[in-house]
Amino acid sequence: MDTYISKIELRNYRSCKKTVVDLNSNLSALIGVNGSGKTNFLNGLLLLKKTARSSRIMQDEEFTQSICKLKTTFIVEQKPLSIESVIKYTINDLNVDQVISATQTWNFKEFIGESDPVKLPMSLLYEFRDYRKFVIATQKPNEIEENQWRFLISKNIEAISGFRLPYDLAQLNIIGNIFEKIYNFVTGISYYSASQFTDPSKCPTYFELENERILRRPGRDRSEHQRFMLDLYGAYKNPKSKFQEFLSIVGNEGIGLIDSIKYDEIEVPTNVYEVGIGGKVSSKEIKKLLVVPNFIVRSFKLSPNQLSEGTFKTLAIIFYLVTDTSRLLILEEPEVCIHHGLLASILELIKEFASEKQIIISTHSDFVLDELDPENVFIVSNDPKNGTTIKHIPDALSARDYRALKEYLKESGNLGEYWRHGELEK
Amino acid sequence: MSTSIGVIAEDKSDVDVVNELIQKILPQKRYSIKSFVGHGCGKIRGKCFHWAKDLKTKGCSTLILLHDLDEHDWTGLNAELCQALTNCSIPKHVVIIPIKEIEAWLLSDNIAINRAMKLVENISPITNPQAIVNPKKRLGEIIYLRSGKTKRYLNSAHNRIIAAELDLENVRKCTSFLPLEKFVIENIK
Repeated sequence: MDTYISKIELRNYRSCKKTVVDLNSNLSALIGVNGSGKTNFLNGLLLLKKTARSSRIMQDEEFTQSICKLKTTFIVEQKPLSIESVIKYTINDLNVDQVISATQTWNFKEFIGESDPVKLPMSLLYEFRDYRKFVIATQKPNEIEENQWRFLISKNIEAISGFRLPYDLAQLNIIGNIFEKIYNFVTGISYYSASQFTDPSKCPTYFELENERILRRPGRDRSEHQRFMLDLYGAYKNPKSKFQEFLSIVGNEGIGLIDSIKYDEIEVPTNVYEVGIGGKVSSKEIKKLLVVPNFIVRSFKLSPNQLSEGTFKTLAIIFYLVTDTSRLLILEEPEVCIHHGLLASILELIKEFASEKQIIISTHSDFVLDELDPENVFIVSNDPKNGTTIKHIPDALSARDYRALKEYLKESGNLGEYWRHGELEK
Repeated sequence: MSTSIGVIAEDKSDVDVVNELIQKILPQKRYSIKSFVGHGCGKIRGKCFHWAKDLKTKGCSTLILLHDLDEHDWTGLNAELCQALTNCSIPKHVVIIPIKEIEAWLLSDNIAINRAMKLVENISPITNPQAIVNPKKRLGEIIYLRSGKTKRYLNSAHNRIIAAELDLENVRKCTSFLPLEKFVIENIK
């Protein structure tokens, strides 16, 4: 993989007092008792994504703040790149972290030789996205990169960070390219959890598009279920999407969860009226489209809210596994509500996609562990003194215990039952 | 009354493939399959003796134990599995070890793969599928590419479908299949 996270050090974030972990480039599975800090660790990692979109958006004094430190080591083009983030955040009413501000220090030593760390906010590209569009639209192609990065890095970063960059243009372009890779990686991090797609009765049975844009249903918030329905429809309408690949997996050629998905699309002409100065009334016709998704299951036509919880959740997980374009996918408890026969297929897919992108899962399922190698598994624990700690199985066990585990897997059983009956977590 | 055949394998898709192949070897035969799956070498070795006892109680008179060779040494693995079945409750049993993976048997028949997966581009015949280092991976790559990148191979779902289309003449290119065919012909009547 071109870019992935090899190491994370998270300090002073919820139960993660000083949590350090070396991740796999492909699949890492976190196991541990409830309350050990698996979700905290993953949320801490997601803070990095939030820093890319929300630096300096809030006034510090308005919030009860916490400050955490997140050091992330990436491997980019087979070289290490570390970014140290100091993140001020608050927690909103929904228990969701909101980043107030972040300072980030990058170490480009492996890319441009000896150098001091560079203060570079992850949100820079987001803040200058309009400028980038302008540059791309107005400059000659061979000048885009130089001008773009000359402006972005040597001028604005200096202005923002107060740090004068002693690099030449070639070095700035290297930094710029690496920076953009990391920015794209971080902003593309995807997260899905078991709780997102539970209770399909929450799922709307239709949605409306106005001039091809989604309309909110009155009185309802846009839920994860609705987002799934919209994403699914978006993929269905896009010939370049992986909708067919998704359908071949969940349909009768694959795991047979559904026969197919059909959409009723009903055009509803609507007039809007405007009253101008002087009382002149004018009307304008807008194009509304009522979209009704139907899942065909054993020849029955079902609305999404008629699907079983397991079916709905499995469809959502597989859809995002197949269509997700992120380089890092976080998946919490993919096993919830899913029959072990179906779960085997989902794990097969997760392992397949882990060869294309970095995937981190958390699980309480011994069945999931049965399908994994010890090298994929990390034990998460929590104690009052050290907080959450995460250990890779090959490192967590003594050499003798690890040999015993390997021997057991070869001679007697599998990892899930070893976890259940043995002392893997001690 | 139909015959009951016991199958012990690493996962359900292996059992599905064996079932489809037995149907082709003995097309007139009425039989049922009862199975255990081990999810890993150790589990099969540790449990196969007791699973065989259970299968016997359920009426199985023959037992097929199937285990991919993967990176093992064939002689050693065969000896270990035979040892695990010493004094087995079902005397008529056989240990089958597909070279590398059972997917090599599926790769022996390009037409079966084309037909089962409805590929948009036909695949060429593979002369020696047992020489492929990672047959499962290869099968996945072939299906993904030859479907125009619209189909993702899932052994849990697709092995049975492909096996149902296999021509035994092609599967016989895999020497590791031959003991299964011989055992079925001689012992399942």
